[in-house]
Amino acid sequence: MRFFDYLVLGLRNIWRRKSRSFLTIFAVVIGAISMVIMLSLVLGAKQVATSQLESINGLTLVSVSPNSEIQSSGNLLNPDQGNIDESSQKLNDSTVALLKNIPNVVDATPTVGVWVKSAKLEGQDKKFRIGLLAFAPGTQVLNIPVGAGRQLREGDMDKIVIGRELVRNFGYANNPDELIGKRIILFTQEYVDWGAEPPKPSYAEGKENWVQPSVEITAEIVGIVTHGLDEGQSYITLDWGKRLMTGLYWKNDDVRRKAFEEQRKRLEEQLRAEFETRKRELEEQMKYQQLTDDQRKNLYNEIESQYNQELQTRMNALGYNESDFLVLAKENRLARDGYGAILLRVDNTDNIDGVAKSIRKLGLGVQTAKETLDQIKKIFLLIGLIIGAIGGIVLFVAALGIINSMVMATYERTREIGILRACGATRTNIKSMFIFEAATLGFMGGVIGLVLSFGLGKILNAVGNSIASTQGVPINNFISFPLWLIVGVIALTTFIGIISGLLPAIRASRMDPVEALRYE
Amino acid sequence: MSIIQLKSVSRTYVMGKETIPALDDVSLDIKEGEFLAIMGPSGSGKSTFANVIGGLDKPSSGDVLVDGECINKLNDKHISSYRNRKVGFIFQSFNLLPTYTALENVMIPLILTGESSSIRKQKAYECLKEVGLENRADHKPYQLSGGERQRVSIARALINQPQIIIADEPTGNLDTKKSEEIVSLLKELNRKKKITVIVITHDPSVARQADRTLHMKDGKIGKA
Repeated sequence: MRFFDYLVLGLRNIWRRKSRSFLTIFAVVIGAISMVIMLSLVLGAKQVATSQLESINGLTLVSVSPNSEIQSSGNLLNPDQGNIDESSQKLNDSTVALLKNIPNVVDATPTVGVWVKSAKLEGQDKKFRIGLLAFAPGTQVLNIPVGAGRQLREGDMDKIVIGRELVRNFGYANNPDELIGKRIILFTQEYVDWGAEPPKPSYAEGKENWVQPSVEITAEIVGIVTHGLDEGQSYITLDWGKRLMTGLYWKNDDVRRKAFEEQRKRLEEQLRAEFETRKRELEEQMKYQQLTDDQRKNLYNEIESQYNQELQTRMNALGYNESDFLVLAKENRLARDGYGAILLRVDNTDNIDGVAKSIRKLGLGVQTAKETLDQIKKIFLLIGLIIGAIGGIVLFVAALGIINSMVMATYERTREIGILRACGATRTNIKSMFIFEAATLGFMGGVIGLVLSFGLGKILNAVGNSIASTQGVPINNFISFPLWLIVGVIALTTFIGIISGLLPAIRASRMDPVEALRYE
Repeated sequence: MSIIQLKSVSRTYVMGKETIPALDDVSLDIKEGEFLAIMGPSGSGKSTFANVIGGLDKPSSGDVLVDGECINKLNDKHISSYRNRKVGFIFQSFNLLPTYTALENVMIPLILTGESSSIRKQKAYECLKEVGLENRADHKPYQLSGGERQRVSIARALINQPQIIIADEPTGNLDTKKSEEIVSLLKELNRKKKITVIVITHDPSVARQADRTLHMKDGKIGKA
């Protein structure tokens, strides 16, 4: 018998019992949909998680954190600034130099998460969340791929490469190129070593009146990160990042104040000496004059007030002003606390473990992309297993449906089997017919399930994308349909059909043709 | 020259504790081109005889030789092929597939041999023409009369140009006029195509058309 004839025969028999076939296929469809949607969800999420690493060639990256005790957040490009305690080491430029000398390390750059409250596009009102990472673009470590504009260059100040999320928020999702050259305003909680100086406080202004300022720093958008990378993250150069991480504030100028106090003391002493002399001269004169006590007193008072007046005049001549003792001071947080992390590029993935070991010996924390990937893989494997189990149960029930449907078919078609046998059908022919029919049920369930999943996936993606963008989660089209999944699901449901059809088919093929023909 | 030889063929059925002999040591020669009628009361083993010759049933002992080949020793594949190519069955209840058209029913044996669609359509149509039903090709069994249905099943039996036609009560469900038509059709096939025809029947008027009539009783065969 020809393949095509088995197919036609199977389809005719399925069509013959439409409603029952529909129900049977429906169960397979549900199974296929749950399998496809959940699997593609896992795949999509995994893809989102790993595509970031792949696009920056992240498998040979190693992130060094200040403390070997504390595991970092799992994101190589998102160093934790807060994970610092007494057992931490300070990551500074000498650490960078030290790490660069480890064999197989190609290059190193400090990475700093720069504190920025929010950002807005110049000319717009709405402010948005922004994650800002500073690194040294001149090093051979990070190469942030851009979809529009250019990458960061060494020495770029007030230049920024922004993430897709901001592009969307600014309303340029469809024409990101137009953002290049536009200016973005970053809001910080303090005055930093860039842009406007903090206003000099008048002396009367006490600390209690101090309000947290919202400082605007302007930057030019030079590039837009490609798809796939963490969409909430924007990038600047380390040089500029250092400036932005340096706080600027007014403080008392103790040296000047002390010098002034000394000068004042000297002046006072000098004046006092002069007036003491004048007082003694006056007393000498008064010995020969008849003066009342009151007159005498008045004279002294006069001299005293002259002295004070003189002191004041001379002091004023020195240029006395309280605000003169305030000086603009810088506090470089990176110099104080060290870098958030140092990112290394290793020459080969094979050498990552060796490099990681050497770094741990230095008492520093290490996170490699490989570890991150392994963790991600483990999590997704677990999710996949759970989902697989659910899908498996549904498909198992669907298989029972097929078995039931086919067993009933063997009873209904007993006489037909007899007729076919009389016409020369072999046992194998009969068996194949039933298996084919069951396989067709499974196949149809798989195909219909895929078509419906495709539609469902589109809807879920649309919903998911809008939720993700409002929540700032860097996920786009998290449900995907790779070819192997399509082929795999159809193959699986067809296979389930075959397995389910096996028993009824064997039953049908073993029927005695004489008995079958007699069957009413 | 004999086309079919039965050598001490017995067929017993086990029903609970009882053993029922449906065929009891039957030996018989059937000549090529012969029109043979088998008569006998119900339960005498006529149908078992037909099924054993047709390769639907196997004897418990003895041999059935067709063209010198011992068909009871063939495996499923070969006995199926024997049924497909050498034998054509006609049944009392027509045994047509209800959801298939007349043409499709006639085609079944060719579908099983893997014949191409165009050839089997053409051949099936020719066979329907032979039984005078070419204008009923697209009718389903329920749209046909009893006589027409039986003619469709004859067409189906003919499609692989068999050497033997086994008709088990072919007129049992038909009125006298239709019976005569069917029998004369069988007779014509027997004469023109030299097909060996074995008819199991209750009807003496059918048996009268035969070259030879055998009577069965209790699984044994006796001459008329």
